[in-house]
Amino acid sequence: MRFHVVHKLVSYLLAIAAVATLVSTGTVPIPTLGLLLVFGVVSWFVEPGNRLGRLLDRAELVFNLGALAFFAVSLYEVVRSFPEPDLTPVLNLVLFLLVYKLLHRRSNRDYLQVYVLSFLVVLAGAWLAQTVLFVIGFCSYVVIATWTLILFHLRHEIEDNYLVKHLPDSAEKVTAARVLNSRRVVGRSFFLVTGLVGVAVLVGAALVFAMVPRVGLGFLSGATRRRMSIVGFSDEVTLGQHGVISRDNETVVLRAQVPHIADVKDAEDRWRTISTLYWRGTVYDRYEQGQWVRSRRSVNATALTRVPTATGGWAYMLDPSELQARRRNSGTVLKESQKQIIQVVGLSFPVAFALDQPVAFEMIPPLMGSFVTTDFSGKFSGEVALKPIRMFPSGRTDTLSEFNGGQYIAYSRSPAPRAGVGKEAVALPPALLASYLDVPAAISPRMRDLARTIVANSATPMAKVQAVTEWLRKTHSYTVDLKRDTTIADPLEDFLFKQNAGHCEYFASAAAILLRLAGVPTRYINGFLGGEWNDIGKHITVRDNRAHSWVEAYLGTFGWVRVDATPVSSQAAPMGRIAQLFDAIELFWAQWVILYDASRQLDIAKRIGKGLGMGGAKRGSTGWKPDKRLIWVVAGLAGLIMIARYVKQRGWRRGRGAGARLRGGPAIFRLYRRVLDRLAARGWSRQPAETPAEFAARLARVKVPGADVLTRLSSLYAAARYGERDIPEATVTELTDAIDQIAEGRTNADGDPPAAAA
Amino acid sequence: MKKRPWQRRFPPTREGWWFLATTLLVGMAAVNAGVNLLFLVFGMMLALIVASGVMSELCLRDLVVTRRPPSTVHAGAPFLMGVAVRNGKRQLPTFSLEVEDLLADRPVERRCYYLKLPAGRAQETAYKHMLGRRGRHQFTGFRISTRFPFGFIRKSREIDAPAELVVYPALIPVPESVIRAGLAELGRRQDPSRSRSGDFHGLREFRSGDDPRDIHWRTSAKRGRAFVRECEEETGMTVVVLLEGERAVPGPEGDAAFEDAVSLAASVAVALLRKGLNVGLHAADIGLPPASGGMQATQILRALALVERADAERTPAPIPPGAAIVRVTPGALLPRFEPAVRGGSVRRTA
Repeated sequence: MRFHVVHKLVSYLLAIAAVATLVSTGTVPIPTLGLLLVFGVVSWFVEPGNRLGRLLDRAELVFNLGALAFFAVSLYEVVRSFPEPDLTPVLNLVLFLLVYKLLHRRSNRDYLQVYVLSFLVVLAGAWLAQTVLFVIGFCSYVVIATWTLILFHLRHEIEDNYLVKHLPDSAEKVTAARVLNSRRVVGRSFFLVTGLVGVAVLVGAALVFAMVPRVGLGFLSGATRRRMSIVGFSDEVTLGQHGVISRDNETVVLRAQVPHIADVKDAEDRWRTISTLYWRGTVYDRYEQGQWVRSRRSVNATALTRVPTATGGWAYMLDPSELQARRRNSGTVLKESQKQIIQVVGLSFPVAFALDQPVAFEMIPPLMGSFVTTDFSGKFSGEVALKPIRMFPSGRTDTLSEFNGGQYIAYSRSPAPRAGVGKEAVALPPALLASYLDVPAAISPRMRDLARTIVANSATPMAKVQAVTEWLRKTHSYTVDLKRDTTIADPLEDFLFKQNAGHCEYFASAAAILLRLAGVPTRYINGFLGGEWNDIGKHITVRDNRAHSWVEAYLGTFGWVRVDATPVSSQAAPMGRIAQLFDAIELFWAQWVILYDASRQLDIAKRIGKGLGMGGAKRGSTGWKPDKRLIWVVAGLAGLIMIARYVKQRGWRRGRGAGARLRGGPAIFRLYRRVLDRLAARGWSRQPAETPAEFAARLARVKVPGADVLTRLSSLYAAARYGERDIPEATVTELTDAIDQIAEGRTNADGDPPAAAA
Repeated sequence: MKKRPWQRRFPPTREGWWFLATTLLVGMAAVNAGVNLLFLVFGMMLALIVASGVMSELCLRDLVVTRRPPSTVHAGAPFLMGVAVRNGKRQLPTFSLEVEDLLADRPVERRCYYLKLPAGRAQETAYKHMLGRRGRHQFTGFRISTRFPFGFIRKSREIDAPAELVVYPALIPVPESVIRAGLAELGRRQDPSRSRSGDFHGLREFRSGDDPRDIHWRTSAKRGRAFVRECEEETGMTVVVLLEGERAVPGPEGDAAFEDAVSLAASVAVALLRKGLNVGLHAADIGLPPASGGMQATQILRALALVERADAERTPAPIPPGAAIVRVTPGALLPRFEPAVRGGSVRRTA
């Protein structure tokens, strides 16, 4: 293939790979992608001088005005989004400019701008990407970028050398066009070898990625990182908005390794067990006009008690009073509980999920030297939040505003009958119970009547729960195709008396309010139901389409009991083998790329150290603490080495560099260099291929003032440089004066106007 | 100066500085924001820099550079210096190579560019250059450099390739009329017996020393005295170019005048040799016997290339008998043609 065609092809491939990295983030809407594709294909056929090219040249003003308008709109959008700037318009502008430049490929500079814009697109992709799809685009980008940069450099050199350096009268004249049309410059072996270089660059990138310390300084605050593919658990649940239970959203929310599930040998049994797992997340206690919110009363606050674990770490126990009442120690409770190692992947709201009836949460302690970790904080009504924090060497900690996922261990009550159930009641304070019995004052009388009717024959709380659940399942059906009669103010009333169909939010809300009206304390829970077993990664993957709502009812000696009034709906299909493979890759990607941090770095370093027989401190122990003086000495030495290298480089350059060659040496050299610098500053640069005499002649031809002085200076310079003649100091002084006079605006000896030349 | 083959220079280019600055910015952004994928981009950029260093090193390895100088080089006249590069690598080609010739350890301004040197192959190109000073010029080696693969750095190394180039004096145009007038003057005043091959000019009485073969027998018989034939053609005439360097005034002006005189002497000698004369040279302690042909021109030019200005008057070398003198004096614009001297040394003019 001809050189210029190859260059054009790889340039387009580079742009495509860059856009692919951005597309992998899911931020590029389909129409935008379509437009990019159409204009990109059209741009391929636009060449300077052909019909399309001429057409575009004629419409250049329109295009430029369009670009200007696009820029203005983007700027306005960004400014409007302050103080939290949304950079999406900037991204759109970059994509627009990319296409614009592809349509206006005229010179090497246009190609260079295409590369710069492509790089910006990749940066945006890196900023936004969460999934492993990014890496496919990125790998392609790296290999193609290697080809493109090499070919661009060669093209630049071809045009520079064959057009400029060989003068028209030279026997060596070769036209650049002939070389650019050559098929012999690059071939298959070239792409093979440079492709291998691209792969090596990828390996290098991976090494740098693994080794650069993750310190997360956060010195500068920038635009909020817009996370894609996240699930919005928020401070309130509005009935009918269908935000949480999107059946089409297959975004992975969390992945959990549950040892007791992994131990199940029979696949059918395992699938059945997994499908009944309730992943408890957010908890709400107040209902108002179709909305569940947290009352945030202090009496409802979740108390967390720090207890030691068997591994030497620390766990936070929920409801320690129950422990005391049952006279059991925390170690025993944790041992008897179901352990889950949970990795939160895509949650904007940092909720600590756990299987139903969580007992405790344990954070995997960061290794020494880690700067960022996650802690737990109690919310309300037994809800626990994840709190990302930054640790400083001084011991101070700051809470980070952004949660980028995390990993922790949760302990939940075993499904086996609990010891002590039915024997000793753990009485909740009346004030606390009252908050879970709250119903809106404006609740309609017919709802009160309905509740009374349903539980008329139920004496115990348990019986009331059964009655309400059975009634709801009997009289209402499950649907995600919600209908709404807006003449009824409360959507719950509409669900109960008019629509008779709804999804889990309605069933849970109905159960909670009806039970409260019947005198049973309840709270509304949001979480996930079930999951998909990944046989490759031996973990459970929970996606957003498994979002679910249910109720917890307080049943005296039974404590808080899960009540799910929603009829059984169709379950999401289990993952296929390929889907499992991708999911396992995603888990690896999330654990080792997205969530790769200082802890993992230190872990790897320790493993390598152990492999080398260097040993290491145990996790959780105080370990090796470097002496501060040693740190200062090492830092000082490093600084000295850097300064010495810098000084050496400077001196070396001064002594030997191309420009320095002129700066040093005889006075005539320095004077000539000075004049060249001044001329360059005024737009008269000497071309690399021009001799001093040719340069002076060129300036004389275009009648640059002061050219006569330059001609004389050039002649003397050439005599000194190549003839090794000594130029008398008086001559140099005379020339210097003449040049200074011209530079200061005085006329030269010939009466010329002030010189641009000097 | 001995080159150190392991020594490399790799100053970043303008594009390289931009790339380094961008790399630094991306690295800072990654550290600041803690976005892991930015670390990946940062890693890619660092790896590209490393790859650039490795590939440029491979480009500069196993190259043999040789110089192909022209047969004659005159001061002040541009010439083409051939530079051949052989890629000694077995598999890898070398791309985008620039070669700078080092003249007294300083690179000349013109560079030779080689877009692609396939493995095991050689290519030759030339650079145009001009040397202002006659005499010996020492080429010490080559600086080979490349900006391949990405144009971020210009990596270069120097290799030893010592060579001497003798630059002949600048040839200045000597008007044909001057040569003709000078030779005509010599023709009137010099015994023309040695010029038998030219066009017939006239007859004169035989003098002692004339070649008897030049006697015009018909006229001699008619007049009763021996007459010889004279020819216009100078071919066969013997001249010695005499450079009177010691007559230059001391100081830089004298130096310049001496150089001009050397150029004039060389130009006149070449012009006379082109006319088929036997030309010799006397300058300072140099004494080249008269001869004709291209080889003599080379010898005279080389001698004049290396002649130095004599400060003190030297003992003049003997002028061959019968040779005319072309006297070149510093400061004089034209040579002075003088008839042959009968043996002995050169007559000094006042």
